[in-house]
Amino acid sequence: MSKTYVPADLRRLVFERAQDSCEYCLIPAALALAAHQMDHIIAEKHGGETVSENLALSCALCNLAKGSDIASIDPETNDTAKLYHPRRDQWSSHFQFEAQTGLIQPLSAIARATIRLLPINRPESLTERVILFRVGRLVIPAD
Amino acid sequence: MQITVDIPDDMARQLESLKDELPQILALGLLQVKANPSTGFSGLAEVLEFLATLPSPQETLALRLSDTAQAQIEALLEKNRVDGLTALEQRLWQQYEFVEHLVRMAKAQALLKLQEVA
Ligand SMILES: [Zn+2]
Repeated sequence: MSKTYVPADLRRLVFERAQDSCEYCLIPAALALAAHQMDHIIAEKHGGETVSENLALSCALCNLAKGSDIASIDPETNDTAKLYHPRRDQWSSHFQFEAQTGLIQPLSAIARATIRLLPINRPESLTERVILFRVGRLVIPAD
Repeated sequence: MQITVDIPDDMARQLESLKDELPQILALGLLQVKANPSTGFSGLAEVLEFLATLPSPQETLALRLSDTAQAQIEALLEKNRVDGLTALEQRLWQQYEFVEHLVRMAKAQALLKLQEVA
Protein backbone atom coordinates (compact mmCIF):
# COMPACT_ATOMS: atom_id res chain seq x y z
CA MET A 1 0.00 0.00 0.00
CA SER A 2 2.94 2.31 -0.62
CA LYS A 3 2.07 5.64 -2.16
CA THR A 4 3.69 6.43 -5.49
CA TYR A 5 6.41 9.00 -5.16
CA VAL A 6 6.00 12.09 -7.33
CA PRO A 7 9.34 13.90 -7.79
CA ALA A 8 9.48 17.48 -6.49
CA ASP A 9 9.90 19.10 -9.93
CA LEU A 10 6.89 17.22 -11.29
CA ARG A 11 4.82 18.24 -8.24
CA ARG A 12 5.83 21.85 -8.83
CA LEU A 13 4.75 21.64 -12.47
CA VAL A 14 1.35 20.19 -11.49
CA PHE A 15 0.76 22.95 -8.92
CA GLU A 16 1.81 25.71 -11.31
CA ARG A 17 -0.17 24.37 -14.25
CA ALA A 18 -3.31 24.23 -12.06
CA GLN A 19 -2.59 27.68 -10.63
CA ASP A 20 -2.63 26.04 -7.18
CA SER A 21 -6.31 25.11 -7.49
CA CYS A 22 -8.20 21.81 -7.53
CA GLU A 23 -8.78 21.05 -11.20
CA TYR A 24 -12.19 19.55 -10.41
CA CYS A 25 -13.92 21.84 -7.87
CA LEU A 26 -11.60 24.88 -8.35
CA ILE A 27 -10.89 25.32 -4.62
CA PRO A 28 -7.40 26.87 -4.21
CA ALA A 29 -4.82 25.06 -2.08
CA ALA A 30 -4.54 28.12 0.15
CA LEU A 31 -8.17 27.72 1.20
CA ALA A 32 -7.93 24.03 2.07
CA LEU A 33 -7.05 22.46 5.40
CA ALA A 34 -5.56 19.21 4.07
CA ALA A 35 -2.91 19.52 1.36
CA HIS A 36 -3.98 19.22 -2.28
CA GLN A 37 -3.12 15.88 -3.88
CA MET A 38 -1.38 14.62 -6.99
CA ASP A 39 -4.35 12.97 -8.72
CA HIS A 40 -3.61 10.19 -11.18
CA ILE A 41 -6.28 11.00 -13.78
CA ILE A 42 -6.18 7.38 -14.91
CA ALA A 43 -5.56 5.53 -11.64
CA GLU A 44 -2.43 3.47 -11.30
CA LYS A 45 -4.49 0.33 -10.90
CA HIS A 46 -5.80 0.92 -14.44
CA GLY A 47 -2.26 1.39 -15.75
CA GLY A 48 -2.09 5.18 -15.34
CA GLU A 49 1.48 6.41 -15.07
CA THR A 50 3.11 9.02 -12.88
CA VAL A 51 3.76 11.45 -15.72
CA SER A 52 2.77 15.06 -16.30
CA GLU A 53 0.07 14.09 -18.83
CA ASN A 54 -1.66 11.83 -16.31
CA LEU A 55 -1.50 14.11 -13.27
CA ALA A 56 -3.95 16.72 -12.07
CA LEU A 57 -4.10 18.79 -8.91
CA SER A 58 -7.00 17.76 -6.72
CA CYS A 59 -8.25 18.72 -3.29
CA ALA A 60 -8.46 15.85 -0.78
CA LEU A 61 -12.27 15.77 -1.00
CA CYS A 62 -12.39 15.41 -4.81
CA ASN A 63 -9.49 12.95 -4.64
CA LEU A 64 -11.33 10.66 -2.24
CA ALA A 65 -14.65 10.81 -4.10
CA LYS A 66 -12.91 10.01 -7.40
CA GLY A 67 -10.97 7.11 -5.89
CA SER A 68 -9.65 4.98 -8.72
CA ASP A 69 -12.69 5.59 -10.97
CA ILE A 70 -12.27 6.67 -14.58
CA ALA A 71 -15.95 6.67 -15.57
CA SER A 72 -19.35 7.10 -13.95
CA ILE A 73 -23.04 7.45 -14.76
CA ASP A 74 -24.48 10.49 -16.51
CA PRO A 75 -27.50 11.21 -14.28
CA GLU A 76 -29.45 12.63 -17.23
CA THR A 77 -29.25 9.61 -19.55
CA ASN A 78 -28.16 6.87 -17.11
CA ASP A 79 -25.45 5.97 -19.63
CA THR A 80 -21.83 5.46 -18.68
CA ALA A 81 -19.70 8.54 -19.25
CA LYS A 82 -15.96 9.07 -18.89
CA LEU A 83 -14.87 11.41 -16.13
CA TYR A 84 -13.46 14.83 -16.97
CA HIS A 85 -9.80 14.49 -18.00
CA PRO A 86 -8.09 17.79 -17.12
CA ARG A 87 -5.27 17.18 -19.63
CA ARG A 88 -7.37 16.11 -22.64
CA ASP A 89 -10.70 17.85 -22.11
CA GLN A 90 -11.14 21.60 -22.37
CA TRP A 91 -12.70 22.91 -19.14
CA SER A 92 -14.77 25.58 -20.91
CA SER A 93 -16.31 23.06 -23.32
CA HIS A 94 -17.61 21.03 -20.38
CA PHE A 95 -18.28 23.42 -17.53
CA GLN A 96 -19.56 26.90 -16.89
CA PHE A 97 -19.19 28.81 -13.63
CA GLU A 98 -22.17 30.73 -12.24
CA ALA A 99 -20.87 33.59 -10.12
CA GLN A 100 -24.25 34.31 -8.47
CA THR A 101 -24.75 30.80 -7.05
CA GLY A 102 -21.26 29.31 -7.05
CA LEU A 103 -22.60 26.43 -9.17
CA ILE A 104 -20.43 24.78 -11.79
CA GLN A 105 -22.93 23.97 -14.54
CA PRO A 106 -22.35 20.94 -16.77
CA LEU A 107 -22.32 21.33 -20.56
CA SER A 108 -21.77 17.65 -21.41
CA ALA A 109 -22.29 14.06 -20.28
CA ILE A 110 -18.68 13.98 -19.06
CA ALA A 111 -19.35 17.04 -16.93
CA ARG A 112 -22.64 15.71 -15.53
CA ALA A 113 -21.02 12.43 -14.51
CA THR A 114 -18.02 14.18 -12.95
CA ILE A 115 -20.07 16.78 -11.07
CA ARG A 116 -22.31 14.07 -9.63
CA LEU A 117 -19.51 11.68 -8.61
CA LEU A 118 -17.13 14.10 -6.90
CA PRO A 119 -19.61 15.92 -5.95
CA ILE A 120 -18.45 19.28 -7.24
CA ASN A 121 -21.61 21.21 -6.32
CA ARG A 122 -22.02 20.25 -2.67
CA PRO A 123 -23.76 23.12 -0.83
CA GLU A 124 -20.68 24.04 1.24
CA SER A 125 -18.56 24.36 -1.90
CA LEU A 126 -21.05 26.77 -3.49
CA THR A 127 -20.69 29.26 -0.64
CA GLU A 128 -16.92 28.87 -0.70
CA ARG A 129 -16.76 29.59 -4.45
CA VAL A 130 -19.12 32.58 -4.24
CA ILE A 131 -16.85 34.23 -1.65
CA LEU A 132 -13.66 33.27 -3.51
CA PHE A 133 -15.06 34.77 -6.71
CA ARG A 134 -15.97 37.96 -4.87
CA VAL A 135 -12.45 38.42 -3.54
CA GLY A 136 -10.90 37.54 -6.90
CA ARG A 137 -9.31 34.30 -5.72
CA LEU A 138 -11.24 31.82 -7.88
CA VAL A 139 -9.33 30.72 -10.95
CA ILE A 140 -11.74 29.81 -13.78
CA PRO A 141 -9.75 27.67 -16.23
CA ALA A 142 -9.50 29.53 -19.55
CA ASP A 143 -8.35 27.08 -22.20
CA MET B 1 -21.13 -11.16 22.50
CA GLN B 2 -24.32 -9.84 24.09
CA ILE B 3 -24.41 -7.02 26.58
CA THR B 4 -27.22 -5.37 28.53
CA VAL B 5 -26.93 -1.74 29.57
CA ASP B 6 -29.23 0.74 31.31
CA ILE B 7 -29.50 4.02 29.40
CA PRO B 8 -31.59 7.18 29.94
CA ASP B 9 -34.98 7.32 28.19
CA ASP B 10 -34.09 10.23 25.91
CA MET B 11 -31.00 8.39 24.67
CA ALA B 12 -33.12 5.29 24.10
CA ARG B 13 -35.50 7.32 21.93
CA GLN B 14 -32.59 8.63 19.84
CA LEU B 15 -31.16 5.14 19.44
CA GLU B 16 -34.50 3.72 18.30
CA SER B 17 -33.90 4.70 14.66
CA LEU B 18 -30.23 3.71 14.77
CA LYS B 19 -30.67 0.17 16.12
CA ASP B 20 -28.83 -1.50 13.22
CA GLU B 21 -25.88 0.84 13.57
CA LEU B 22 -25.31 0.23 17.27
CA PRO B 23 -22.15 -1.88 16.87
CA GLN B 24 -20.64 0.83 14.68
CA ILE B 25 -21.64 3.59 17.06
CA LEU B 26 -20.01 1.68 19.91
CA ALA B 27 -16.85 1.15 17.88
CA LEU B 28 -16.68 4.88 17.14
CA GLY B 29 -17.27 5.69 20.80
CA LEU B 30 -14.43 3.37 21.74
CA LEU B 31 -12.12 5.22 19.36
CA GLN B 32 -13.03 8.51 21.03
CA VAL B 33 -12.47 7.07 24.49
CA LYS B 34 -9.09 5.70 23.55
CA ALA B 35 -8.36 9.01 21.79
CA ASN B 36 -5.56 7.41 19.88
CA PRO B 37 -4.45 9.78 17.13
CA SER B 38 -3.71 6.83 14.86
CA THR B 39 -7.31 5.62 14.91
CA GLY B 40 -9.55 8.69 15.37
CA PHE B 41 -9.33 11.73 13.08
CA SER B 42 -6.61 13.51 14.98
CA GLY B 43 -7.14 16.81 13.15
CA LEU B 44 -10.52 17.55 14.72
CA ALA B 45 -9.34 18.54 18.19
CA GLU B 46 -6.38 20.57 16.94
CA VAL B 47 -8.53 22.59 14.53
CA LEU B 48 -11.24 23.29 17.09
CA GLU B 49 -8.63 24.31 19.67
CA PHE B 50 -7.07 26.64 17.12
CA LEU B 51 -10.41 28.26 16.23
CA ALA B 52 -11.16 28.71 19.92
CA THR B 53 -8.19 31.06 20.19
CA LEU B 54 -10.07 33.49 17.87
CA PRO B 55 -7.22 33.70 15.34
CA SER B 56 -6.64 36.76 13.16
CA PRO B 57 -7.48 36.50 9.43
CA GLN B 58 -3.77 36.03 8.67
CA GLU B 59 -3.46 33.24 11.24
CA THR B 60 -6.62 31.59 9.91
CA LEU B 61 -5.27 31.60 6.35
CA ALA B 62 -2.04 30.01 7.56
CA LEU B 63 -3.83 27.08 9.20
CA ARG B 64 -2.71 23.66 7.93
CA LEU B 65 -3.14 20.14 9.25
CA SER B 66 -0.40 18.81 11.50
CA ASP B 67 1.88 16.25 9.88
CA THR B 68 0.17 13.48 11.84
CA ALA B 69 -3.32 14.43 10.67
CA GLN B 70 -2.12 15.00 7.09
CA ALA B 71 -0.54 11.53 7.08
CA GLN B 72 -3.81 10.08 8.32
CA ILE B 73 -5.70 11.75 5.44
CA GLU B 74 -3.23 10.44 2.88
CA ALA B 75 -3.43 6.94 4.32
CA LEU B 76 -7.23 7.03 3.98
CA LEU B 77 -6.97 8.31 0.38
CA GLU B 78 -4.60 5.48 -0.51
CA LYS B 79 -6.69 2.85 1.28
CA ASN B 80 -9.75 4.13 -0.59
CA ARG B 81 -8.02 3.73 -3.96
CA VAL B 82 -6.63 0.31 -3.24
CA ASP B 83 -9.37 -1.56 -1.42
CA GLY B 84 -12.02 0.90 -0.33
CA LEU B 85 -12.86 2.25 3.12
CA THR B 86 -14.57 0.29 5.87
CA ALA B 87 -17.73 1.77 7.37
CA LEU B 88 -15.67 3.03 10.28
CA GLU B 89 -13.11 4.69 8.02
CA GLN B 90 -15.93 6.31 6.09
CA ARG B 91 -17.19 7.84 9.33
CA LEU B 92 -13.70 9.13 10.04
CA TRP B 93 -13.60 10.67 6.59
CA GLN B 94 -16.98 12.34 7.14
CA GLN B 95 -15.60 13.81 10.34
CA TYR B 96 -12.64 15.18 8.41
CA GLU B 97 -14.90 16.46 5.62
CA PHE B 98 -16.89 18.46 8.16
CA VAL B 99 -13.70 20.02 9.56
CA GLU B 100 -12.35 20.69 6.05
CA HIS B 101 -15.43 22.71 5.09
CA LEU B 102 -15.43 24.50 8.44
CA VAL B 103 -11.86 25.65 7.83
CA ARG B 104 -12.50 26.55 4.17
CA MET B 105 -15.37 28.79 5.30
CA ALA B 106 -13.21 30.36 8.02
CA LYS B 107 -10.50 31.05 5.45
CA ALA B 108 -12.99 32.44 2.93
CA GLN B 109 -14.33 34.79 5.62
CA ALA B 110 -10.76 35.76 6.48
CA LEU B 111 -10.13 36.68 2.82
CA LEU B 112 -13.30 38.81 2.81
CA LYS B 113 -12.20 40.59 6.00
CA LEU B 114 -8.76 41.31 4.63
CA GLN B 115 -10.29 42.74 1.48
CA GLU B 116 -12.65 44.98 3.44
CA VAL B 117 -9.72 46.37 5.38
CA ALA B 118 -7.61 46.97 2.28
ZN1 LIG C 1 -11.73 19.59 -5.34
